[in-house]
Amino acid sequence: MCASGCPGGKRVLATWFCCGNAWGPCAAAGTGACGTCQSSNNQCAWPNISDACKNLTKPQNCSENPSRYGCGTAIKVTTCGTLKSVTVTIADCGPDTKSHCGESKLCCYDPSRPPYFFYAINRLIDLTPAAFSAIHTLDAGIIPVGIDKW
Amino acid sequence: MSEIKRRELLKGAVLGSAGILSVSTFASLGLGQPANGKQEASGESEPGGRNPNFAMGLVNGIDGATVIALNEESLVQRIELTSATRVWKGQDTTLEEVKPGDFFYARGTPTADGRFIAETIWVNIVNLHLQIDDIDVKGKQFVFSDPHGQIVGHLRPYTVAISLHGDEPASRDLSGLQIGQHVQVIGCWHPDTGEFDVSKIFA
Repeated sequence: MCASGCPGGKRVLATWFCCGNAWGPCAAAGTGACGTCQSSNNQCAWPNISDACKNLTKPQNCSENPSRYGCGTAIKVTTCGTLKSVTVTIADCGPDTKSHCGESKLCCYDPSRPPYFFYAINRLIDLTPAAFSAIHTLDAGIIPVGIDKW
Repeated sequence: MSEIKRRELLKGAVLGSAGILSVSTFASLGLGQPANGKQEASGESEPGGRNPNFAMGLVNGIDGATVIALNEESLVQRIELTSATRVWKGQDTTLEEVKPGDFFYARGTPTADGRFIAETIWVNIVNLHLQIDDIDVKGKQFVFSDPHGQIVGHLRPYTVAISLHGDEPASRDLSGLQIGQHVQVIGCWHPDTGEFDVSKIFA
């Protein structure tokens, strides 16, 4: 295995969600907790945008303590491996971090840095389809990424 | 719980009853704080802005290698496919499988004259958070549920399970899945029904 593809920042799992104007099962998704969420925008959900939000997502149950960021805060998301990146802004509350404690995927391998194998652990960010598809294929479902603030 | 319903729940919890609060009310809930992150160029669009390399819509018809669609702004848009375009509808397929009434997401390149050249088009794709209610091996289907009802997931030859608690590769062996288990599912919705084809089950 070649050494490469380790994004900087915190490594977590990301998936995608739909919001705003849509069809089919996505039609009732609404514009999110910030009132601005649209599937075709480069946006994300963050688990600590307010006390009410954090009380739902409970990242502390997974030993995570994400910073409080407000609607519109920009976060750079980079894939493990290919290092493709997209900068998104917070438009919703999520993911439901507490329901996914301990989930992980191998992010990258670096023989020069112990522990050599680096994993993306827990869910701290969800992306809109537009943002997710900018860095990976939608049918991948869940991917390991690096985020530049947490 | 489906991704959609989960969003509604999360939104409802911060908006209060029926989402009747206005955007200006968010500040009092701590939701309307100004951005405190430094914005960086994404290479595709302004952070948070519309992604020009993304399109979505409802299929109205097919004209040769072009999907005639109604986009989210109720405008007619032409999505052009090339020999290199990847078409996904539960699995990789061809444009012949795309029908009026399907919805889609697409990634590609917009042209100056308003067309969109698709690199990949995902048809009827859904990403759902569900609980397994029943496993019908003989009928090759799972019955899933979220708090709003049940959904039938049809197993296909391409259906795989992917563990999020280890490094095992995707497997066609679904015997490790259990009734009552919470899973995330990538699938292909059957429009206007409560059914879908299961592509990937993350557990």
